[in-house]
Amino acid sequence: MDHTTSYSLLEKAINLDDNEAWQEIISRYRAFVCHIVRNFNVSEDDFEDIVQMCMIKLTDSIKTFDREKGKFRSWFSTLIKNQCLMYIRTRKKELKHRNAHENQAAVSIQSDNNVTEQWISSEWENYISSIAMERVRATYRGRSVEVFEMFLKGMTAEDIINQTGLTMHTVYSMKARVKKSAMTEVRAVIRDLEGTSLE
Amino acid sequence: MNDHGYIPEPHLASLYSDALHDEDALTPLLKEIETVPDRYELVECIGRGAIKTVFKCYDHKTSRLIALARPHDELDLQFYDILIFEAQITAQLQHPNIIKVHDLDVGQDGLPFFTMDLKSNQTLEHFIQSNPTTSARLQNLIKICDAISYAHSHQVIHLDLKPENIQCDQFGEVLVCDWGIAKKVGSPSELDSQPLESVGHVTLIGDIKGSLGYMSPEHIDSSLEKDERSDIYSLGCLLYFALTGAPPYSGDKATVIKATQLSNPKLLESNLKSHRVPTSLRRIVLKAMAKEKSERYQHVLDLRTDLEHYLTSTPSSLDQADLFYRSQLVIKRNPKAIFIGLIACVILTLTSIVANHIITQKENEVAHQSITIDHLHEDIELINLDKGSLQHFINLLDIDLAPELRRLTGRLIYNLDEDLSPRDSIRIADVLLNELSTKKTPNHTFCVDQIHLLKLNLHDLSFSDKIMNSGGFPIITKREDWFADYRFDESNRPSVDQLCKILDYFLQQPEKRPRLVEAIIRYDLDTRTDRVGYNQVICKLIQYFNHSTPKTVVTYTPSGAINITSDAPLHVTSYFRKESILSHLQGGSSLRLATKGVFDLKNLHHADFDTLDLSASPRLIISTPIHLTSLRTVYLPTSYQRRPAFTDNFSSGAADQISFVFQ
Repeated sequence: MDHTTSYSLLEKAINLDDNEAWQEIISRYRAFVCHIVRNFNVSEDDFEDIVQMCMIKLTDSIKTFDREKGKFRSWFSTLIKNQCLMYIRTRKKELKHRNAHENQAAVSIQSDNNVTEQWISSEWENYISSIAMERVRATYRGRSVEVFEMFLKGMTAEDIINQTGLTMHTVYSMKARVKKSAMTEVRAVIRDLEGTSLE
Repeated sequence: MNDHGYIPEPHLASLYSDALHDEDALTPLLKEIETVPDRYELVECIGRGAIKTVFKCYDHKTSRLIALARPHDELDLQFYDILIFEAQITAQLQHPNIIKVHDLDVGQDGLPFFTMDLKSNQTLEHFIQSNPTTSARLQNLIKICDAISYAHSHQVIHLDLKPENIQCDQFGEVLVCDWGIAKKVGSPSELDSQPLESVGHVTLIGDIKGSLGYMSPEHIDSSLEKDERSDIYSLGCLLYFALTGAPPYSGDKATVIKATQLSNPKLLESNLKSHRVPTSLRRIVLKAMAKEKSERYQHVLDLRTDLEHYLTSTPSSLDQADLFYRSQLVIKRNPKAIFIGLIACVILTLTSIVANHIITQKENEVAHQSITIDHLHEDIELINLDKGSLQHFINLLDIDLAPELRRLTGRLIYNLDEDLSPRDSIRIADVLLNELSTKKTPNHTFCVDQIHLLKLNLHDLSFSDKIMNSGGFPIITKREDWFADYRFDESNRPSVDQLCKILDYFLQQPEKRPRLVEAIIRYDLDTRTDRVGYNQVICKLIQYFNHSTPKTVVTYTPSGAINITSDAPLHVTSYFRKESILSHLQGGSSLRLATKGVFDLKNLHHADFDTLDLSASPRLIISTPIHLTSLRTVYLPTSYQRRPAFTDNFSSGAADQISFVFQ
């Protein structure tokens, strides 16, 4: 693929105002944001509100994000976390205030201290890898992907040979081929969703 | 799956960072060639030259088998550059028929080496031994010429052309190899400073650089200048080898050198002849191998062109192309076409002969039949003549018959035939008239026929519109309205009054037609059954007959008395009939006839009167005896009183004795 003349999905969405590309990116981001917000123990109504806030902030900011100043995933993680915490703080105040007036039960919303930017960032990497593997799985037939994922899950070559009955050469050859494809796909997804120049 | 369509897969976590940092995974082949420890792995020795050994070896980077040449292990260091020079000069020559050099390097052992295409071990010698066709041999020679011509265009001369240095594979690929003693024209070769010795067909280090048997005379003499024409000499030797399977000169070193220096063309030609090499090719070989450079081909392309001409059976630059020779070449070029043409000619000739024979046979048959036809024609002409005469005769008969029929018809219409009743006459006339209508008669007679038809109708007193409109009959044309209602026929007759009207009409006409009128009345009498009052009609008729005698008066009384007086002879019949109309008078009481003319009493024969008063008719005669049905009394002039012969001629059906009264 000639990356000098073709646009990434993000470039299409932002620079070319390609609505279809934009919709795809939003849907990808939203799925990830949902995944992250799920980890804050919030009610369903709050969950939707937080996701919505994140998405509004994200779409507003992404066009002005300067990739030279930092990694996309760091910026993205910070954005999500900040939006979540901001919402939670506001909600807490609101609930406290209401509680004082209405004399009701304790605050049901609380922040999860485990949700750090680093964690979000690693979740993003994982998310990107999942999308890439989805594509790889759709490409290969036979047991190549299965063998590769066995390696990823920490199985030794010997275990794999025993489990699959394949030869050593075949197993390594499968691993090398699928790994190359997976790497290529991950790089393509990063390019599409982060807009990051890989060079 | 969660509600957002994403299920985290923790085992994939490493892929992201791997993709960014583990480039080896992305380019495993790059990694592989980067880490190749020893690129060329020698497999086996496949050849040995004067200074180099050639190995089959495996290239770990390109993953293929190639040929690798390196100096003999024992070779002195000074010869290393010769090998390098060969690699470089060969690498410069990019031609499909020149071996390709891929790499030139120095091995870990410090020896220079170069790699090149690894082809089969088949050389031109092997190829010739496989006994190919002359055409295949020459095709390969042409490819060699192409390679050498290309090299010459880059000012490179090979100087060691021999069958062993030409690779020929089974797929037709020809490669000129071993450019070890090649040199740039006009510049000294790397080898010029080295002593080379050639033994047999192997180029070795010594005085002579090249291979004996394929070297030009100037090549043997190192004092002489070698140029492109030296290669052309070698090409001539290769051609000689390709055609005969042997080098031009063989024997020990001294013999070969001597023979080369002598360059006896007659010997060469005789050898070529003994191998049945065609004259054209012999000329090409001898020209290429001419002792003097100036007598050889001056360019490889000239040699190539002549070989091409031989292959395409066109005259080469050396051929004396007379008409016979050119014709031979034409046949050689187009053997199939010529063969087909010849076959076609033979078939055509045979076909012509057979066809000619058949035609002659047919012509004879035709001539014979023609004579028969002539005879038949004559017969037909005769028959036609006869037929013509017959037809003419028939026509004549018809033409002759028509007037006769017409005459007969007329006669019948006027009822002149005494033997026939008027009714039969008219019927027959009708038949004849129909018969006449079938005859080819002249047009004018048609009118006559029409008149006859009119008359036939007139007898019936039937004035149909058709007849009246014909305008052919003057009697009725002007007064047709008088009788427009007259539509009578044989069974339906007019009344007495209607008949009298007709007769009155005829009486008024200036032109008299007594014969016609009599015929009408007689026909009427014949067809009529009821004759009551008919005497009136008879009287009118008598009046008509005597129209030329104004004083003739005929009177009729309803009681039946008839009085006829006439100053002139009385006509009681038409001019053409003998029977008197008076005989038709019936049921009358008396007839008084007074005429001053002669009157024959036979006219009263069969008349039906009881009294005849003839006393006022002095000139009576009686030519035949007469019989009257109801006659009782006859008044006669007194002059007949004493003439018993006269009265004896009377007889009556009513009385035995007729009373004659003379007064």
